[in-house]
Amino acid sequence: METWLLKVQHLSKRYGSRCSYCSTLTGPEQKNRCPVCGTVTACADIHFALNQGEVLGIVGESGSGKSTLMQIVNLALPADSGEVFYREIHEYGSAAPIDLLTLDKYAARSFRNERLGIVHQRPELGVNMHFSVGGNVAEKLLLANWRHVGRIRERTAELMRLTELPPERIDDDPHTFSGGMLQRVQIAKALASNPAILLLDEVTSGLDLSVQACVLDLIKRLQWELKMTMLLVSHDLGVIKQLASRTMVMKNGWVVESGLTDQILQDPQHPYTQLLVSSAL
Amino acid sequence: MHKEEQTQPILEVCHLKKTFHLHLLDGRLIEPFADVSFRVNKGNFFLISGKSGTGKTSILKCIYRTYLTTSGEIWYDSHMFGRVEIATASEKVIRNLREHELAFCSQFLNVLPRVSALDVTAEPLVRLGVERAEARARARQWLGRLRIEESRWQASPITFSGGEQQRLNLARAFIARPRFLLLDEPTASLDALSKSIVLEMMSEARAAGVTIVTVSHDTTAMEQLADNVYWLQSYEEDLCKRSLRTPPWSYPTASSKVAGCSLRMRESLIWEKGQPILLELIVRLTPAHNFSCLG
Repeated sequence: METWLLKVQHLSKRYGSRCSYCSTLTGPEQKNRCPVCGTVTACADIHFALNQGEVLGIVGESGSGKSTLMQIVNLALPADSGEVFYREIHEYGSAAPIDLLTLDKYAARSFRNERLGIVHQRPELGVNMHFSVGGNVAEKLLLANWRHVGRIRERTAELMRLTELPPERIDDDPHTFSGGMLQRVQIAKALASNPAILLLDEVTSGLDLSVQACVLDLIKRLQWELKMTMLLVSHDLGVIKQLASRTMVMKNGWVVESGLTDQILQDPQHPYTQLLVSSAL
Repeated sequence: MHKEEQTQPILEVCHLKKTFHLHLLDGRLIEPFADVSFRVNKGNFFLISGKSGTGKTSILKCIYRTYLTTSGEIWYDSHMFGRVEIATASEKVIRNLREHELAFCSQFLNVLPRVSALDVTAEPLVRLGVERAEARARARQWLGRLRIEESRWQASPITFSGGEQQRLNLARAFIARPRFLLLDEPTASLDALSKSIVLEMMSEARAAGVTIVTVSHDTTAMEQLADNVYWLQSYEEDLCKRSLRTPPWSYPTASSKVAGCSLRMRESLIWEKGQPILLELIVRLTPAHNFSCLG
């Protein structure tokens, strides 16, 4: 029986000081931006649990707070309130949960380097364009306390093979790589330190169809063969349908519906989800 | 398998009802079926049949939890967790059941592009942790058995014909030998030879103790195998059949289709193999006041 690895409770993130008007509104009917005080709601009272080996999809329109949620979980953005619990799972059981939002910046950084891997929508955000491809992957390994150059190069080449990148191009400049290849460099980089959770933020948007298929295929393999736990943000319902086992639908910072992916897609309950599903190609 | 085990119900559906609330169509309500009850014994082959649009597939989807149940209960006697009420069980339980016990074979194939037919077939085994090489070897056996040409095993199933896709779907459902199989129109687009192979596969699975619930129009082929047949009916159909008789009760408006008439009536439509009971007969034999509750 699987157990939860990450549990998010009461998570909220707002930009601006709330006024007496917008603090009374509790629901996705509320607009992102309060018409009175201009407070922007990115995430409002979000709850979910991510089980080990599971892929949780998050869908919603632009501005619904998907990426903000991802950045908070990646410990790159502070939250206003709420808890993000992480529980280490060993062969013999699980450790006591820790609240990631209470970690100091050094602990947060080492947690991010060792336990999390993130793939951004835009490769430039995840890949340092001034380093070679090998250097990019090695950076993550160095941060996770790898010191032996030979072993680092070996691991880098292994990761490149896993992500179907030609290992002989290890010392090439990222500028000479295509968008799809850079996306795979990001995935290789994210996988470098064997993360417990892989965060995928719109990995296939902006890629052409054949490259998109390669990236999806790769993610699916990671899911089956390595039993990787993933949080997958996408606005493409086709991607969600293929990869996620459970799905959460967000609107204006609120979670409007969550459930098993096939149930969300075939029997949506919330009006917004019905609109979303009926608009899909 | 012992006889006692066979008579234990593995699935009990009680007063199942599903309503679709279409918010985009001004909140219109659609009710494919209501008040459906039946039980399936362990190792049985249970056939659900009826006209198109009576909600046969919706019942299967409710059992698989692709659809949320509006009211009623679905009790499944699982190997992992004991008796589970599917309509209200947690997503975690359902995911575990789907991974290890339940399999659903739909009429349509939905796969990732670029993945070969062989890997698509081997997928359920790989998920269960079987080595890729062994999973592929077993997938080869199933594809061969279902008469899919060997030259096409490396191609993506998206390029396959409708019948081939359906056979691939069946191979995926049977390969991991689940405990409980839900098949949606398993023989709909197959030629006679493929159909006989599929029927043979089903009877083999049943002999191995797998419980099968299937939805099909092809009652002539399925009835040889079926232990029980459940006939779903719409109000309109009911009306036609009883047109010779003036109904002593009033029907609800025909806007919503409801399976059968009353629980009592539909229960009598499930017949044990070899002893079909005609609807007309029941209507004549049953006193009218039994249906007065409907009015």
